[in-house]
Order: sequence, then structure tokens, then C-alpha cells
Amino acid sequence: MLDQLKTNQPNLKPRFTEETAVAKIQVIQDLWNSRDARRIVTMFDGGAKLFNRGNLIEDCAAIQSFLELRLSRQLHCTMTMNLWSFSGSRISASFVSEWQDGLRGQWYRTEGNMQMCFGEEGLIEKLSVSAFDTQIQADQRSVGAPKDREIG
Amino acid sequence: MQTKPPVPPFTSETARKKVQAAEDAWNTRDPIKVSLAYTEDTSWRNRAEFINGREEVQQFLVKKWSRELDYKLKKELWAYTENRIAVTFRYEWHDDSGQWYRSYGNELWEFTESGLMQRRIASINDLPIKESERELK
Repeated sequence: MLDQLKTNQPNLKPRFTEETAVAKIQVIQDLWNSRDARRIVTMFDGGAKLFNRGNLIEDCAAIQSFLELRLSRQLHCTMTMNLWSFSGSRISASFVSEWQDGLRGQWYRTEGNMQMCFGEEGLIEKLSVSAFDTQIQADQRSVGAPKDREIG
Repeated sequence: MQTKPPVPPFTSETARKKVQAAEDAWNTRDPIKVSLAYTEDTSWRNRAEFINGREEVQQFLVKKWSRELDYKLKKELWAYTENRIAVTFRYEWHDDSGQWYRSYGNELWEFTESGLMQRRIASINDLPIKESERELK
């Protein structure tokens, strides 16, 4: 079943066009918003490197562990990505996500940039993320569809 | 019209030149010189801070380099399309207590037809390092 969730569909492999780059971002966004680490990790190559805020996480297993921990702490996480540029096997995007701290109940908005490099089969080989977090009130949420913001 | 070649639409070669020029300029730590690569009405988001116009850019850079001592930067082209370029970078610096840092960032650039940058969106994260761990000297 997880094979069906892989992002290596024939038409979403490098070299990207504007159409496939936009579609690729949408797939990544949808996978992230599943909030299921097993699904999210299917977009990474086995030996992928995730460079998150200056910290390197290497290979899929470590990335899945990182995602599981992140998602256990950042509840109701919803992200929107916007394509910035693409060339060859690389895509750059900005993103905004909103989430609730599971321990303290505080809502946050995270804003940042992602740079991605894909292998021939369309899986992420390298993902670099830089971002900052801002505290927000629950009624200041603006990311995602209204139903995503129904949680108070 | 003031121009700053190379101008869009970018190729692999011209995008690399633009990135190298920015790296060279920022490593002069000269706020006036650096600011000339941006349009008069340039619009920045640098971390959580919004900066508008060349004058604010200059003020921002004066403040930055009064705090980030012995600053040394390395930029790398990531992707380019038409009048946009995406860049990864890292820079090292120390504060006035002598603590060294390596700052990692991703930035998104947008240029006018003149080759001046009208929009810059930079996200950056700082990690403390030991002086012996410096890579950029």
C-alpha cells in the first residue's frame, strides 16, 4: 500500500518543467499534511540527507525517526508550500506551517525556505530547510483549508 | 536605467556569476557597496525581520556587521528560473564575547530586468561552534 504513496510517478521525475515542479510541490505538501511519518518518508531516497536548521540527519530510517518525534510534538501541523524556482533536478520553495505544541498548547507559525535535490526516480536525495517559529494565537491561523483550522 | 549584469532570464552560467558576485560583495562587509545590488525599493524578509528599501538595507547591514565579527560567507547556487535564483549559504562569525557561530541559510532572490534584486527572502539558523571548528577563514 505504501508503494502507492511513493512520489516516483513517471511524470514527476527530473528534469522538471514548471508543470511538474508545481505538481511535485503539491505531492510533497499533501504527504506532509498526512502527518504520517511512514507516508512522508516515502518521498525520500534510502540514503537521503535532510539538513534541518543546520543539523544533518542522514538516511531514511533516521529521517523517519526525526519525523515521528517532530509530529508527536507538533500537533495538527498544516503546511503550504510555494514553488520559487527549479532547474534540472532541483526545486526551491518557500513554506509556511502552523502547529500546536503538544505539551503547552501554544500555537506556532513556522516560515522558511526549502531546497530539494531529486534523484532520477524522483525521490528526494537532499533536502535543506531553514526556518523560524513565531508564536500565534489560535484565531490567527491562516494556513490550510478552514476545516484544518477548526481545532481550537 | 541602472543595470547590474548579468540580467534575467538567467542561465546556469549567469546564475552562478550572480551568486559569486553576491558572495564577493557581502564578504567586503561594506553596507553601501552591498546595497547597490538591490533596487531602491527592494523588499526583504531576513529571518523574521522585514526590510524595505536600500536605506533600510544599509542600516540592517551596519547593525549586522557590528554584531557578526570576522564574518566570512560562502554561497552556493541551488536552482534558477527566469528572473529568480535560489541559494544556500553558510557564514561564520563571532560575537563580542568571542563565541563563534556557523549560520546556515536558504535564500530566494527575484530580479528586475535591470539585474538588480527586488526581492530577497532569507531564512537562517545559527549554530554555536568552537573556534577550532571553523571552516571558512
